[in-house]
Amino acid sequence: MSGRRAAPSRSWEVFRALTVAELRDTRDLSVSGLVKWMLEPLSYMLIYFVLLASILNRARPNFMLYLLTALVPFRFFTGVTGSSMSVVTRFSQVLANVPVPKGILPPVVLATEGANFLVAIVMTIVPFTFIYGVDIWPSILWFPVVVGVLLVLTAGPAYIATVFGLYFADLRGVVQNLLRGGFFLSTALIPIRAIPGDQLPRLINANPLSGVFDSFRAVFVNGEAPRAIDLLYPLGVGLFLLLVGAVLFRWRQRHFPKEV
Amino acid sequence: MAEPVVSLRDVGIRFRFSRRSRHGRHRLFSRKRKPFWGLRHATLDVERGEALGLVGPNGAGKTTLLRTVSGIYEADEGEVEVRGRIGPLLSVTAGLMPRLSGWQNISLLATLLGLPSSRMGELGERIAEFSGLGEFLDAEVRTYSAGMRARLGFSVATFVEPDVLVLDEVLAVGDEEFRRKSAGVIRDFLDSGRTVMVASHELDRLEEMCTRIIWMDHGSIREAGEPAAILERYREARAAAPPEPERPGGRGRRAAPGL
Repeated sequence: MSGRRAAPSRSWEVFRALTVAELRDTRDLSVSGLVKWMLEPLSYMLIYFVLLASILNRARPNFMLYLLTALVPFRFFTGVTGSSMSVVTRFSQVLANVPVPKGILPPVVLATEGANFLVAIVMTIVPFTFIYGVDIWPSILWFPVVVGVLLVLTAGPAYIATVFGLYFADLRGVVQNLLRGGFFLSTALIPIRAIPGDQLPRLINANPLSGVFDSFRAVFVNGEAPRAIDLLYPLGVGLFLLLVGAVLFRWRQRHFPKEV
Repeated sequence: MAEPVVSLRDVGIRFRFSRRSRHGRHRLFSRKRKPFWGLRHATLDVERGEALGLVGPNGAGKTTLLRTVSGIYEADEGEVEVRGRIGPLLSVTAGLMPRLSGWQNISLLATLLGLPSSRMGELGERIAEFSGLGEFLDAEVRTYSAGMRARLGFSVATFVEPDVLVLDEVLAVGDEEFRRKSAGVIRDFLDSGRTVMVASHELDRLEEMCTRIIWMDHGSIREAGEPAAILERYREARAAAPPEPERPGGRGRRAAPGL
């Protein structure tokens, strides 16, 4: 087996350098990138608003804010998963020419998408709390906890998608559609108590994204603390997925430079 | 006696590729996938201050060996030991990101090669000056020619002060001025007791520069020794060898990656 080699540059510096490179490469923090991150959830919000409020007559109080508190975290979740599927290819020139710790790649995706996510929160959700007159103090103190849970829930899929995307790049569209299915089978559009029957609410409750969306709503729509179950269940699922992702990633990461 | 700066002991690097398809999943699951040893039973010590040249036909395993020494490939068998920092320049693209500017790539590449950010300002200017790219450093690297990319990559790889400079077929792409400058840097590098490993098809240049040559063939080290003698035998063998048959295109017949 391989012995010790010259140590690569310190992990933090490598992480920072790759994150900055990725942000510059994608132009996500440019004006057009920020506009994209603002317009995308807003346009989805308008579509669902028209569909649910005007056509299906399913409007709720603070409905635009209600929709945004699901759309923005979901955009982060799908953004990380989709971006992770191609991260090895995007950094192929680096991986093939410079020794870098591969385990840093998913955190780089989380950081770059996370920067966009925070910008989207400030530019979409926060203004709507003012528009609807929601008092988010002191519930806003729960915001870092809710984001932390979302990060843990997203980290595992990021590691899994990094490996999966390298070998199944042509299935990216299928993965996106499955994730979109996960969005509809959650409390993103309608609260759980408004869903008829027994099986469907059970399924929606089993979706960890429901807990995340409800936690965001507790903070930004209702101005209250999230329920413990809405934080602990996604956290538990996230830790399990992170374990699966770590095992899978450790198994394949040494082959990345050969595969690109 | 001083420890060698690079030690390889019976090192093997295995690739897997499917005869059926170029899709990644077939490399993962196909029963028809075949292991292909890009490097096998490679044993080698490289001493401090040595200039080691690698010769061999395409697919002989030169790049695989250099990538293994650089820490890019992990050995599937055997042991690799490197004592010191590596400065790899393994392709014309050199790990540069096409949509970043020259300046941004200097910062990225130097950090990845282990230069602390505290020294970036001082060395960044020197790297920029040596590369001779001037105002082009503000442009995106995707607009650069192969020679300009090689200049930038070479400048960063040498100025991060590595103990071992690893070069793979990249010096031939630069213009005459750059080749003269890079030859000077390599000479200074060797004079200061550091090590160079270089793969090239420019045999005269290798003979002039190197203190030892290894001749690689089919993923193995065929011969190693004094440059003039090895290169003479290598030239004779190449002259006597029939031309390499062209690989037919099509599914599953592409060359193994990274070779």
